[in-house]
Amino acid sequence: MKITDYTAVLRSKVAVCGNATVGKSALVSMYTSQGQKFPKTYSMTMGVDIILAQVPVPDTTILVELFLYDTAGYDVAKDTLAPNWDGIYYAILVYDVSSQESFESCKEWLEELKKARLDRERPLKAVLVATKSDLPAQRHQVSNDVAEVWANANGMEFFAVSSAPPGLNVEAPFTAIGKAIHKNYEEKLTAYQDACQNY
Amino acid sequence: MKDYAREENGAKIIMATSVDDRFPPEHMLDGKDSSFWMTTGMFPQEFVLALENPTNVSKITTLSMNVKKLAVEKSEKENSGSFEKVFEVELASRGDRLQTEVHQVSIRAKYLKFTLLSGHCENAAVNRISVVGEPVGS
Repeated sequence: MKITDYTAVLRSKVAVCGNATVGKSALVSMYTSQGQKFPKTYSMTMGVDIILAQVPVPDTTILVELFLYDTAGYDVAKDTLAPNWDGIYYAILVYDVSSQESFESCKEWLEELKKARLDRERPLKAVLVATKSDLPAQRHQVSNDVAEVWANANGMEFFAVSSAPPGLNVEAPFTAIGKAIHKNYEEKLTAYQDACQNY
Repeated sequence: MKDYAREENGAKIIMATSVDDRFPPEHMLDGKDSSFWMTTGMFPQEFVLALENPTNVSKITTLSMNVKKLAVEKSEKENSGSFEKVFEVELASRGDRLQTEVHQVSIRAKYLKFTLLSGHCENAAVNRISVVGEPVGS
């Protein structure tokens, strides 16, 4: 679809969190470049990179622009991140299938994100992403089943992906977040339309 | 008193930062409280209202939903790139009910820029704007 064919553009901030070296930036890069750019050498993210990702909502003429807050995964940086999450209600939590520790850390990241919400009444909508799924089975430390159970128990969808070219399932987590933002917007619209009927 | 912010009186929205074809910014100029322009996420959001002619404005009214901080700026000249602040105000939350904000002013304006600096929720809406005054020179 051409950009002029869209009838609405929705925008929202989305946090991308997870331990260092799990592949947050590689995932984002593969998505935003449509599979063209996989970083061949490791580049440590300092603080926060803000990247724009465009997500067409399936079966609609609506485009969602995600302002991805790709955050540094190092512990030392954790305290400095919260101010960037000001008003964030969407998140992509990332772990590496070959690191049990990175999966465990997602639980902490989830709590940090919940704490950072401005409106504590409002739920945080997150997805859980397992990267490096293309690694041979003997290197997997976290089973997809265990991860999916934990994700679902916390109201999250789970996606196993591989960012290494050609890429596997890379679009799915972004599409899921885009759909959630679209749903939230349509609900607000309906509420406003109902409220305005009497004016 | 004539409302200069009505489409039939020559007013136009010449810029708006949110697009949803179902809820265009022209909805703010149709004189109805029931139709609205919807902001589609994140703040600030802005729109610029062009009056047909430079006008001595005495009252600016906005009807909105879930707007928190609102700033209004004006520009007098036909081709001016700069705006001067008229007022800035914080609106109380009324849930999904209409917020009515009336400001008595004494300014001359051809363009009025409305900036929604923040909202009470992710998406705010503006139902109507009204600009009352006299044509310059009357």
